[in-house]
Amino acid sequence: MPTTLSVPHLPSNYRLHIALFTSVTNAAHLHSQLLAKNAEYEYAFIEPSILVSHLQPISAGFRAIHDLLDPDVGLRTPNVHSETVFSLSPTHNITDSYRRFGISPSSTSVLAIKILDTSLASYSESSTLERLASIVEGTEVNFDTKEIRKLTDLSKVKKYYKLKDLGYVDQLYKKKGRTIEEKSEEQAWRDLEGAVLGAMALRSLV
Amino acid sequence: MTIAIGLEGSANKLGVGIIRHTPSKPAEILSNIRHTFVSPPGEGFLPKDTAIHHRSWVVKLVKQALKESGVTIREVDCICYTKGPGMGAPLQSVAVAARTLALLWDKPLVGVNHCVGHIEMGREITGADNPVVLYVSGGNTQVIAYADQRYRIFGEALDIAIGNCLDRFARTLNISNDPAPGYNIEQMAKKGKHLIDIPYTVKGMDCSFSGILGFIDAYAGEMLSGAEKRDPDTRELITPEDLCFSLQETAFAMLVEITERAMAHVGSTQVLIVGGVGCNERLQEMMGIMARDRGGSVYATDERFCIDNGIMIAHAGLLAFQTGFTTPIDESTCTQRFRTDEVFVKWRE
Amino acid sequence: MPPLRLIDGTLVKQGAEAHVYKSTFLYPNVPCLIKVRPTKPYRHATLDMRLTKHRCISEARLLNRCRSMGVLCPTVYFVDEKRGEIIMEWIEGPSVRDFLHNYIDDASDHGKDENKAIDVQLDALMENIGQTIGKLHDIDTIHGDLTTSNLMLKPRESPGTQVLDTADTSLANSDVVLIDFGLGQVSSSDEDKAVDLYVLERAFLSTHPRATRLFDIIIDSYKRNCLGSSVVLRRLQEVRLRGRKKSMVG
Repeated sequence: MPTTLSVPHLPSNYRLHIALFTSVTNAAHLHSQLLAKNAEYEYAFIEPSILVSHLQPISAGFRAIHDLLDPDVGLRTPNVHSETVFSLSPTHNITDSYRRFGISPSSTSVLAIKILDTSLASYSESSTLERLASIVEGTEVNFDTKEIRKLTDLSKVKKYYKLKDLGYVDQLYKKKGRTIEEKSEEQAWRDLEGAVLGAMALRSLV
Repeated sequence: MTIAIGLEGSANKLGVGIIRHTPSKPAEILSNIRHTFVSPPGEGFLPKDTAIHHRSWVVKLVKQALKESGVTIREVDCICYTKGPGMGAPLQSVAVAARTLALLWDKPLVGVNHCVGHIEMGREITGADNPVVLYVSGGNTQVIAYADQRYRIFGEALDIAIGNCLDRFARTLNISNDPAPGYNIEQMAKKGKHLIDIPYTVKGMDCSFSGILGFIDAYAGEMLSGAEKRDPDTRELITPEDLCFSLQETAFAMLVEITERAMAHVGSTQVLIVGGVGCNERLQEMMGIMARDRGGSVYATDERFCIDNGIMIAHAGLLAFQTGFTTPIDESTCTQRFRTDEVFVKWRE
Repeated sequence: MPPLRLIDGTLVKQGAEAHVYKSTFLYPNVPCLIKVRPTKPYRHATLDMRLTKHRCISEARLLNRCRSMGVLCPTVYFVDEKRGEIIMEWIEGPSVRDFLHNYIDDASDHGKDENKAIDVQLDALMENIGQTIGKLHDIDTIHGDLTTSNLMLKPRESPGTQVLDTADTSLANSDVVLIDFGLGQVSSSDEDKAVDLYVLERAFLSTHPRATRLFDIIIDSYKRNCLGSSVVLRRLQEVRLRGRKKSMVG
């Protein structure tokens, strides 16, 4: 059930292997292995409650691979997986990004991503996906926006992405006594997604 | 076959030109004479003094033009003069001269828009049929494209014209006004090499030069009162030549940008540069690079025609005259403000 | 600095300012627009780099500002400011310019009653445009290059929505989306907002010379909807006169 994906504009030999888990029981273990920099546990372990759509983590992976391959930029963290977690952040503070967007020992769901150069002789898709499916102890669910939105913690998202201006103009008009057409739930999610993706994209310009 | 005499004096250049139009032949320039009122360095030209200059020279120039062209009074079909836009007193002086000739010789008058004069002369000389026109002079900065019998203004300087900006900058640096401040800036710029970061302001299809002027006035002022300005990378001293260079590179880039925008908007690949600042070779070069990049070309005239002259008035006037247009004596006023798009271009489709 | 294969797409437009490509971002079903600001060979190299980078950064920031605050514009997906490249949300639908252009051509083909129906729709569109610009100014943002090419008509999302074409004038189901913020800035100044409107006025009337009535509706809508409109519109009068009254000496 994990997904494999290569993205346009980046060399297609770089692929993301993705799996989403709920009811996770070994978050503390995963977290300690990350801190110990155990090579067997070199994954992007993302905290799903800060996600609003499936595009968000993939966009982070895109940025990580892009910067890895760009000789003028390079990575700011030890590897492309830590870089993926960092790329979810709207700011340059790396430690904050791990704490906020990466898993914690008490996480109950985990999004795991493994990025590999599939042109290497050592690569095997089946063993990568097997390992991905087993490394997290929990229930694997489909990696899609529907599942992700069940896990979203809106107040955390608004806080970490500094979205206090979200929908500002409608609030402004409401205060002046105008009737504002209520947005549909889908539209509200879209607006949130747009704000989050934009905040991530602008990180380098801050 | 029709012959017109044209009188131009909207600023400090007094021009008299005589032109002949023959059907299905290019226009013939029979005479094109000019005399410029040059003010001392550090000063601009004042309307009163300019008007005096024009009044002193116009009779001489008209006589000379007639002699040079070999045209007799009888052969002249109409007297064309600059109705506007321009400076009040100088315009009036030339209008008086035109009216006098018209009454003396019993010929119809044709009032001409100065900008349209530049455009039509530019088209005639270069052969550019329907280009986007950049009209740049002391008093005007406009990007113009022809549509539906009007020369429509697509972009312009929102505050001061590029020529005005150059002139005032020359004044600050005490650069000579002889032969023209812009010309001297151009020569100095060739010796400059450091590019100073000066304000670049494009707003939509328009641009603005007051920011540049304010900045460079302050900067030059500091330099002249002894403050040392150095290039951040090479640590070399910034010279007035560097200032001229930076001013041109920045201001001209703005002009090329708004011209390119208009070209993209109307789908044209040809550019025609007219007006006094159009003589500047760096501007022509930059415009040419942009035009070629778009698969087109730039057209420009030499100083006989880009600088204000009488022949362009004669030419544009004659085009209008041939459609039946004349200006009755009691309507032969001048106006300081006369927008290019106010003219009904009857002689084109 | 060569681009990192970031131009995998079809060239859609080679504008004066930038080359625009249509492509996909991350997934095949996420269309995107890649905007590249090429170097301009006529400019001094230092000036060119400075301008390109500045405009790229400025545009990305302004798009993001508008998007989060609630003014419709494309979502920013990715920015590479060193190369002057932005990847953003693809907006389906014609520009207002193309739409008006087609309408003006179509008008001659229709009978009088159909023309009236289209007129009502057009008025609604102008009303919408006035509101949108009003919103933009109410969040103290200046577009800097308001033309009908920079206003897009995006069909509202619902399953089975058809892309707008010239025959389909169901403008009731479309949103007005602002694009191309390269010359924009954040500003609360009435002068800047008035100049913003002035730029639109000139662009509108020069591109659609027979559409003065339509532009008046935009201003009227702006007047009613934008909170700061009265001061801005008074300023607009001054800006207009400045254009007319300029001493055009020489």
